[in-house]
Amino acid sequence: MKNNTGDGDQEAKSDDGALASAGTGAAGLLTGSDLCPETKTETGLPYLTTWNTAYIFVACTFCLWLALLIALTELSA
Amino acid sequence: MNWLDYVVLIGSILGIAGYGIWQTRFRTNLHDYLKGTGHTPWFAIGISVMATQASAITFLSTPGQGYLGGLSFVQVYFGVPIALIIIAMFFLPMFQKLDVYTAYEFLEKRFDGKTRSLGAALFLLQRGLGAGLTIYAPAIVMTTVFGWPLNATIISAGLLVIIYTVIGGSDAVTVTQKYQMAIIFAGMATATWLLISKLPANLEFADTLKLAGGFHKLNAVNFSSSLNQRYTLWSGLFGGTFLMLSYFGTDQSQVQRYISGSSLRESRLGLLFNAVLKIPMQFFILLIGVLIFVFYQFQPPPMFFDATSRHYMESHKTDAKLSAFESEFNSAQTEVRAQLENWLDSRHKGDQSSANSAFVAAALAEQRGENIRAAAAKELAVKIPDAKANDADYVFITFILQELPHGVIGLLVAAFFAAALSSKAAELNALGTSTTIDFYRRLIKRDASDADCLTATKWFTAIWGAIAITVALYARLAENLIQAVNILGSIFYGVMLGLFLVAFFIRRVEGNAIFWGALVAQILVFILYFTLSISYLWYPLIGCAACVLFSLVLQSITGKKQESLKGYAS
Repeated sequence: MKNNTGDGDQEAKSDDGALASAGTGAAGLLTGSDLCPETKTETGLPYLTTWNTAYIFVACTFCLWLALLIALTELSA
Repeated sequence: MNWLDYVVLIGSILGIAGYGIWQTRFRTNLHDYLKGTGHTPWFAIGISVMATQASAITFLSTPGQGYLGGLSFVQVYFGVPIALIIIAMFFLPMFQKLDVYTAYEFLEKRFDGKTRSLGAALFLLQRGLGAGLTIYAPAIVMTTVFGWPLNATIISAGLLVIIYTVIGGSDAVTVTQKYQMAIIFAGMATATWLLISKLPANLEFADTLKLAGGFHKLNAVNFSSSLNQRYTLWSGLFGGTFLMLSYFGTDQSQVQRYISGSSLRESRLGLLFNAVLKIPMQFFILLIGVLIFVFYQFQPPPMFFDATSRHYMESHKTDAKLSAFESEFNSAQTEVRAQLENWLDSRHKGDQSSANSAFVAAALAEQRGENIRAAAAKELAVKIPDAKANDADYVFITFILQELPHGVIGLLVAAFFAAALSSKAAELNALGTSTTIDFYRRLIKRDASDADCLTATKWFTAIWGAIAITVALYARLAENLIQAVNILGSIFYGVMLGLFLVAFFIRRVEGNAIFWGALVAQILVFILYFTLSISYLWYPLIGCAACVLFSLVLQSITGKKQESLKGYAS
């Protein structure tokens, strides 16, 4: 179910000096690379095969709507 | 409403609730009860997230916002795509990886127990209060319009949602939300189609746009940089992003919806589904209001849509002052209609000069009507000081009752109730879950078994339902209903978001610094809310920024102290 989250990373392998020196990693708290996003898995969608392309698609859709709404506003002016 | 409307209303609402109970009646495992059986596909997740956010007031009030203020309210949702991308990238993988039941478990894993308790307490406080409002809002509108008893409506709707949420848990919420959204979309699509069919036959699409634009109803984007203006591009983009990031990323009622996906992929796609569709959905709901405005330029509109004011006007026809206002208003509207007919004729004949002068005359008459309405509203406020309701809440329901056929009225009232129940169920499910997981199992009964926690969750869900009903029974209207819910959220959400942003992105901040920084930031937001008059959309940003800043300052102070203590000890 969580094949794409790298479960093994959960043990403290901090690249964060502050937390590591405070000993929080050893106390089982999340540190450094545990908090990094992962974008490795594929979406399973046609064309938008990676998550980054899916995010770009969403952003482009938003920009299109924004352009449409600005055009409507101009019509109203 | 006649018998057909009641059959449609009661049949659909009880049918969906009954189906939800039947489908989820054997949830005896804590994990399945809180997170579902793990078979929820992305489409169901997406619908569930959408249904949780879209409460009855979304569908009741938003067309009214469109009628009165045009499309500008859509700017509130400009932050949704940005916020959901951030959540899909950073928040969701972490929640899935840790296999948490609540978002606040993550805070304990990152900071400490007291920070988790603070996050969960802020959620319970604001969502518990908001839950009362989401059930009260549709009830007050429905009962004012239909004359139903308010308390009985609140209690019966509240009990229904408590029953199916307590029995089926998270899956019951998801299963019922699918069908509730189907009822909502069917109702809204039917209303739109009938509304368009009722516009004058000679009014073409381009004419409709021109007319709505001429009356400033298509003013979707406001570039003003004034902080006092509620809906602007900047408050939507920046303030709205923080508001939506807070809501979708830290509010358990949403987090619980999308972490119930069968995999990270399904949950992510469910979020992106909303990121793509939320703005168009809100746009079309507002557009319904704009089309109702166009419709009422060719049909006599009531002077007040607000039911209390209308009932007062009808029962006080002998009041000379009010009658004079109504007569002047009707005369102004008659002139608007006549001038717009001239405008259409001239426009279709290609006589641009006559068309322009007719439109200007219509706009002036409309403005005169608005001034008369405002003067009459002042007069009414003196006569009925308790009637604080905004017209926006009553525009759509008035149109539905006056213009749509029986059966469709029942379908739309069912849609409003379905929306109320769908968001209410998600809220109760989240409140019960957070109370059990974040407080009961940690602080009250540490050795509680899963079976104990399951029973406790059911009890807490029912108790929160009872609290919501009680709040609803004693609620009083605050300005416009949808805004009241948003304002309440914006006061708490900023600090909640600050907790999570620091947790994810500022790794050197530790538990004590974030805990005290968040508390001070929340107090600051309260003070600012009661002393400033800026748009509520800015409070999530202010609360979040204050939380981050204070935690950084405290961390630098306490960090230095710890270093000096270490030095002293050695």
